[in-house]
Amino acid sequence: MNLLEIKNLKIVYRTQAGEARAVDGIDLNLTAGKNLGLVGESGCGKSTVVRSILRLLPPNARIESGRISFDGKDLSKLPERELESLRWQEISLIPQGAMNSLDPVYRVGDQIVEAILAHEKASRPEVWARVEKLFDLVGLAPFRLRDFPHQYSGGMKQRAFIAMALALHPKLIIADEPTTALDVIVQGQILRRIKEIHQLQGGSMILVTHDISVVAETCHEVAIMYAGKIMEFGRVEEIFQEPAHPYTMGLKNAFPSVTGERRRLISIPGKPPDLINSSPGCLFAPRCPFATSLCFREMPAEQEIAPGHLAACHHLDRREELRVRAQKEDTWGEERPVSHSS
Amino acid sequence: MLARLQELWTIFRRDRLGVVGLLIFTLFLLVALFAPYLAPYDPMESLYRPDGSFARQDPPSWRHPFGTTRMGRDVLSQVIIGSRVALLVGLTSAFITTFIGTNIGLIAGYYGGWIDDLLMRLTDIVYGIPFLPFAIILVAILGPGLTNTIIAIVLISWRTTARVIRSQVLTLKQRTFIEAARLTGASNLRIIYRHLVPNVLPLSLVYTALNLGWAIMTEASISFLGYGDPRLVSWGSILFSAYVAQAVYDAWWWVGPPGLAITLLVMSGFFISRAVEEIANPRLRER
Amino acid sequence: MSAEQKKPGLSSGTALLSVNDLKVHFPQKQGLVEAVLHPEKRRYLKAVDGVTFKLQAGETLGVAGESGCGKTTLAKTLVRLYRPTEGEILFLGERIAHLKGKELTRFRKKAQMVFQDPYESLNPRFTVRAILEEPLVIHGFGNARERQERIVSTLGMAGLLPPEAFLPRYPHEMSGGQRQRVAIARVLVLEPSFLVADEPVSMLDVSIRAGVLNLLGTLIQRLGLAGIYISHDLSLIRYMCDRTAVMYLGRIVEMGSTEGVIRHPLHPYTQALVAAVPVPEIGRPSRVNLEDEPPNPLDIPRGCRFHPRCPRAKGICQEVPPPSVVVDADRQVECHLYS
Repeated sequence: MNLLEIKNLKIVYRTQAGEARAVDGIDLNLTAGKNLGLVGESGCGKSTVVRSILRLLPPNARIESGRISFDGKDLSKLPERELESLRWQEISLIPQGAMNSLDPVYRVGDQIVEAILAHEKASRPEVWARVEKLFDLVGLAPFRLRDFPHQYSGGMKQRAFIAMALALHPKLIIADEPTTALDVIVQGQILRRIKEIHQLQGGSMILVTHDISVVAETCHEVAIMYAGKIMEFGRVEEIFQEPAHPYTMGLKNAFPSVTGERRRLISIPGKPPDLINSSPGCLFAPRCPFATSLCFREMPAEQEIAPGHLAACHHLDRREELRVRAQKEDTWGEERPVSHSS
Repeated sequence: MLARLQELWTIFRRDRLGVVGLLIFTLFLLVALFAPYLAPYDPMESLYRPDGSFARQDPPSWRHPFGTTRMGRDVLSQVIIGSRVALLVGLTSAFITTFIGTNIGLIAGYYGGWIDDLLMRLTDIVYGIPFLPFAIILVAILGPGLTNTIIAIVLISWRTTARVIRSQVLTLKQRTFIEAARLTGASNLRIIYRHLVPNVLPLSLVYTALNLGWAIMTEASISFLGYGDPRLVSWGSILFSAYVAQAVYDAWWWVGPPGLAITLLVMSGFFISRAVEEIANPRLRER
Repeated sequence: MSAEQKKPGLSSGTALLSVNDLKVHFPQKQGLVEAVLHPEKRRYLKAVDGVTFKLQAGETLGVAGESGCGKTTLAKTLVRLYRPTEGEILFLGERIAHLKGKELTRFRKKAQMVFQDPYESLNPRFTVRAILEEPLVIHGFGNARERQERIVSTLGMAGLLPPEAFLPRYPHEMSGGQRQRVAIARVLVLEPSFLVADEPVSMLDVSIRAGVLNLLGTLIQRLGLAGIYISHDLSLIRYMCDRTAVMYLGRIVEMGSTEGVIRHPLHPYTQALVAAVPVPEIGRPSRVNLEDEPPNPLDIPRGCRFHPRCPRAKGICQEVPPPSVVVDADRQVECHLYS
């Protein structure tokens, strides 16, 4: 059964230069109990997608079309008040700067307990005890509940926020780059915590990030987004071992590894397309080393190459060959520094 | 450079009140520049009616659109000539104030430590001084005159600019580009005047426009209280003579025009500062 | 302990940079009354607390550690943005710890740094031309035409093509990757012989990281610079550096060749750090986690600084600071397990 279903979602932003198609026809299904990674460069629309689920878009954004249903309910038709009770109780968001969203003048424990009491009928000591348990789970000492936010470090605040996000046993957690500002060690702790506790509670998660290695550890399925579209979707193992879309292959090349062989990193040349005046063809074509004239003419449709593995590319039948070529640096023609004339 | 000015103008233009302020200010500036040609009469000359009688406190008429004073002087001419004092005092003290305040703020904020302590305690002391009584006492001691009025205004009003610029410098100093400049070998003076000044200048300009308003108001107050230069016609001194003649309640044309002129010019200063603030602080622009 | 440290380092020969028992302590704010009555109670943040290493020309050393371990302070001290509290830094045989005035300016020409955040490290009111020209003017390089030539060729080296198109641009008119390239160009324009890079790609989008990393690597190699690369991410250090030093609470706890340190970490902290790096491969053992936040540099534990978090701590670790042990020609480690 699908917990979350997104059908043909299109979102545009009004800007001074015109309308930017930030999300351009996205379909996503999330099964209950599974974790989904939403991966892409900044500006690819990944945050817009998850924010639209909770209707937390900025005022200049407009949902042009699409249906978002959660647990059988159509979220876009839900009145604001019902949606509000849904937020945090059933869908919880851990935003990028979550660590700055604690109120500096109240004790952390009081903030969390008050917030829970606003949603639930329970006694204060009961809730306090529950929060203490949650704190223990996220790796914070329960006595920390009596501290003020300024006594916390960045990573601790982030963990406190995660405790808060998990407090009401939401069915879905949306983590929007939850660890970008933190260093690897803290990052590791936090992701593991979210994953463990959440699995314990039987919930699902959408993890929005630009770091594919984080997804590899945390998620079951990945959607690779580029310029408002999903380029490839599938189980994590498949996407990592047998990427079918050249963009996915390119992203994989850009990551150094600490365990494998030491190979040269290759960046994808060029930059993401202009979302205001987009061209008719595949949006990745201008940066794609394998693009043909067909790619510039026609937008490729999404095809299922294996059960549950989808990709939108005209050259899927040649994917084995492309995968080999994509690992060579010459293929991507990275700009090389010119030598000093002096 | 030209493109940058053009860009700034586009932002400025978006603020309606700012444009209105700029228009009012330009109008007054033109009036002040061409005052001798615009004023129909000598502002100090006692005038006579066509029938030969003394034009004592005449209400507005075609001959005297703003009427005349108890001494038979033309109010319109007085207001026109009086704009010169207002703008001279206003602009001069606003620029000197900005110059001093910005430099004190830059030095205090950049060097920190005891220099900052010293300069900021000085600022606190100046903050403790009530503006108008201080100005009056100073003018009373040094003697009336435009220069002394300007000195009195500048001595007090640099405090706000200094404080604001200092706090701006404190945040700028945290940014890595200042560290990067030190790393390239830039000297302290170079960092202050090449790296910090361009970043605080827009904010300085906001306070120049604000100071302009304050200075005009202070000059008018000093003259109104009778501490102005008796040889000069200023808007404050027009009001002063109306008050002394006890004509405030029966000759509205005598007090109305200079009062209105002061209000408009001070307001234009505030409007301009508001629009400049939008340039200085990009976050305000979003609204 | 310091006797141990004075032992000749692992790499002998003429070092470009030689750092000896470097300490950087920051006094903490103290109330006025406190300062008068109990000046001895003043607390110090010991960001760098006895660091010793050598760096050869053409070599790249990675410095790894969590946030708060003192790696950024070390970086800024090596280029003399901070003044050392104790210890000596020898750069080409010259003592630079207390240089001032003209001599400091001369040193600045040779030792440069690339900062973490390209959105913060470029003056928003300067054009690219002004950013690159300033160092040249300060160090009295050539005339206007020669400066222009140098600026254009350096922009080209930094991969900003065509260079002329970038000259009139302001930082806000460029992408993060382009800004970081401008920051690199500003550093290169002086032709330094020593370069410190402090997490130069952590603020950049993943797809452009590789480009900036490769650029830095190529330039270090081609221009024969000595480099120090600072990061919390060992996979980046592995990509960039020949040797790696792992820092914990102001000290280097393990140092050796990068491959050696990463493949066979000796210090329990290094082991945890290696395990913490996310792996873009499937089926790898999940990360080992260090519990708790790193301890406070204001309150450094007695004995081994790592013992409160160390899974293998023994009795001695709580009492005696471990000596620096040279394990083999390629490795030294500060841990009681190996002494």
